[in-house]
Amino acid sequence: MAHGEEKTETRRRIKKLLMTLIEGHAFVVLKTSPGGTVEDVLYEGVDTRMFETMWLGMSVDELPRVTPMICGVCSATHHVASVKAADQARGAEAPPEAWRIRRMINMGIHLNNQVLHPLVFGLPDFLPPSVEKRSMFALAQREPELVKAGVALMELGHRVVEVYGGRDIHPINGIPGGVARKPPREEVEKLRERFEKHRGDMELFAKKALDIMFSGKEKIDSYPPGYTYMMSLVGDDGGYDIVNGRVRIMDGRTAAVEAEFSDRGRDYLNYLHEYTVPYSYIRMVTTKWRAKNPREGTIHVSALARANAVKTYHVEWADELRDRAAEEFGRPFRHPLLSTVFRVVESAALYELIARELERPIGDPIYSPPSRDTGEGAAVIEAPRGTLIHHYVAEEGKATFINIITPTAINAAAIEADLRAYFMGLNVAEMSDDEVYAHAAAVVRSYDPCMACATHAATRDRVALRIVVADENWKPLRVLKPPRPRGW
Amino acid sequence: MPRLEPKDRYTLALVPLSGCGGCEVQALRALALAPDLQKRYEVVYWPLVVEETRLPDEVDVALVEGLVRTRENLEALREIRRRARVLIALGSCAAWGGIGGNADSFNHRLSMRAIYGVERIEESAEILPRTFAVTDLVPVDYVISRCPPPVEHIMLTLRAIAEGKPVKTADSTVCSQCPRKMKPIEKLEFKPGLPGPDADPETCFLSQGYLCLGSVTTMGCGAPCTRHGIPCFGCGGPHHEIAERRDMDIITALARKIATLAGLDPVKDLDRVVKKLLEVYNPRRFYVFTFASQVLRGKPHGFAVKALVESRRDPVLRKRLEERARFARGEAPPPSPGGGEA
Amino acid sequence: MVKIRIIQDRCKQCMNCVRVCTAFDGVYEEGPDGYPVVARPEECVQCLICHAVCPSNAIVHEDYHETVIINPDEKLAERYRNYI
Repeated sequence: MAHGEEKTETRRRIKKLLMTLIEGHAFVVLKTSPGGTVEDVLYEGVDTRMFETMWLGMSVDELPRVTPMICGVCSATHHVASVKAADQARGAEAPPEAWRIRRMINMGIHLNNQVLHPLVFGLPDFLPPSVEKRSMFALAQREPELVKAGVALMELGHRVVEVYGGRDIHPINGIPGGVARKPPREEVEKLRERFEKHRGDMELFAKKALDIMFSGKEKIDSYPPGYTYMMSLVGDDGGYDIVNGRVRIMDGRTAAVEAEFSDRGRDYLNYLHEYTVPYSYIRMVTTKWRAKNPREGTIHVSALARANAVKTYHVEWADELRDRAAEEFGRPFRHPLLSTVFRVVESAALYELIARELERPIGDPIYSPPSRDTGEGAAVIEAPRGTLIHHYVAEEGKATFINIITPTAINAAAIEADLRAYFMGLNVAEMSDDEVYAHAAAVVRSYDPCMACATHAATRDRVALRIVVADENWKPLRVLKPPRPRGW
Repeated sequence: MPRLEPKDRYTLALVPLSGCGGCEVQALRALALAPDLQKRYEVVYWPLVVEETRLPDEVDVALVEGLVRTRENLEALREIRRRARVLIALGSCAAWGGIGGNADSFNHRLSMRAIYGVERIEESAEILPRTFAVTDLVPVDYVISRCPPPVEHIMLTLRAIAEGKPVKTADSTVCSQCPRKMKPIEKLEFKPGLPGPDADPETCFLSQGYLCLGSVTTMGCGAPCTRHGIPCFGCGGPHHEIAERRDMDIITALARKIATLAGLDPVKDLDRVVKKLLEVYNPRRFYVFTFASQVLRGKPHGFAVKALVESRRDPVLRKRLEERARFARGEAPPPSPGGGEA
Repeated sequence: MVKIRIIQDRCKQCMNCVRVCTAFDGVYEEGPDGYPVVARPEECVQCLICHAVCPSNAIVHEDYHETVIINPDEKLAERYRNYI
């Protein structure tokens, strides 16, 4: 119908892009004027699994068994956060030796994830666009050694979680008050030997991965940062610590500390504000003092924020790699795509930290019994993707309130802000769909968004690109059939 | 058993529904660690690892992960069933509903209000009123259960399918792989909560009075949880006999075993033991990974349905949900422990 | 007669089968090595309660299907055997 088509030309359009090569499923929604100029960019998570209500009325002790299932990629981090919160709710003080085991669980999954992201999601992005179906398997054909080393490191990370946490995915060892069992000595010894053996792999991986990314400097520079704040957990000595410490909110431009709060208890509620948006199942997060105007308080959490916040990684080599990145890109580190660089740097640091920790045998005690069954606890720890918060209230041993803020929920607003910084004012009607998709995906992937975490769920859609014609108030009028571009 | 025509290379797709991605990681590891599988299978669709957003018209082998939570999930599932020759339900969510099935404990509208402060997210996917396991909605050819499914199971299954051989199935329970010693129960008593490291590491949890679902859960994991001093939560789903037989349910099958261990009659004293179990434990606790499954909801005793109804009707929990909704809307701080608002 | 087999790899030595057997004298007995042994298989009435209480599904009644078909008519029996 000619008349109808004519009419749609004057209407606004919404473009939806399904993101691939991320954990879980998300859409980037581009809202354009009739001419095709981008007026707004939204980031949509498409589902919920209701983790915050499903365990109400059940035993709070069992939460560390249940919450890891929020996310299969960083389940160990959820486990440790959950145990840390349940500790407080049950009035138990875990002994330092138990904390060492818990820290190892978290470090193992960090090592795995910080290698997994560059390998599976990050580096394929740096492959030339001419390569069809960019993926880890495509990367393996060009850089077989890199992928082989990376796969070995990923397995090592999983092994650490398995030995210390009981299972590689969804670990179980932590219980309120400590841990259930010490890792058997012979397993630790085996692991130590493997860490000795794969040291060469780590060096090769870090070197090759950083080389690829440094050679793509223009690509990194071309995506401007749009977020306002950065947030990270910093150890008590100001160094790298992913389990205990203080939480810092820093200015996104200068990395100056804006606020600092405790990693335990209700304190986080005084600084962070959650809000619901009508287009996404992610509860967005902003700073409390920008609650009136949430888009001005977007927070970036990731390896990038940690690299800015911590004084040292406690590992010389990792500090040197960070200095090398500082020479290339200048401090503070701000470009969102730089996160992938610091994931590699962190993996180097973690490798060394884990190897050191494996040398020291674990002593006693590993458990102190809980003292109460009515209480409250909140825990802030670092997940591979950023800061993770679990908050429980228990009455007579039963959970009565559960709140979980995941790193990707915090990052969602920052992703939007970065996408806006890139796309606002651009005319997407003049760009090819492939191009639009590639730019959006590059920004989104750099955050390593874990959609299973963010919405406590994940889903998919058959339609990769959905164009909706909308009226002045963005009310959808009609869905246009997408063109069938090759290689999508 | 479906048979594929012999080919050098089969196409493989992995369709994630509402899940955590753990199964995807395991499948990725299976492929990464087995070069022979990389030769036999070509990944044509898998949002996690391949930059490809269109499902091909025909797929030889498709894996489905996660449970059905939204209408999009449902459509995606029907679509992949239509296009796949062999469909494998991967993980507990696809097989039994998994942990996400617990969301059915409450009305989905109340839950949405409690989490988001609103009943519907207007511009995003539509939430279905209940959750579904994949196996309840479409016929599947294989089920690789467990949360997460062990890498070896995925490897064995994919390899057997590629070679056209039958796949071995699990016939026993987690107990057969657990090193703990079963001893007679002297006094029939149950302890709530998890055992600490002070519990006897050599003796079966049932003998010590803790709830362990090992004896009703299908084998294959190597019992890592009980080895680590944590009772089994039943992540593998019920043993196939419990799933198949109308007269067996997770609670009754477990109660029969406990009763015999305590020297009681497994038939005559069954009701007594079941009653005692339900006094101490919330009925939902027996269905942590199987709450959404129609297989268990359809059992004649109806323990799963009773658990569902009880938690939905519980006035205290409703109050909690309302409290949480006020917090989600930013109107009130979270409730402080011991009642009242901080 | 039914052949009863106990798969020792799976057996938890809980003696649930010894305790529960409904046969007059009891089919199972605790053996010297701690595993239950099938002492009187001829007593078995095939109530299969031992299957229900075994925690690890370690008991197998072999040839079970053939013995349940009690029908004087050979042809009819043959037909049913095919069904099972």
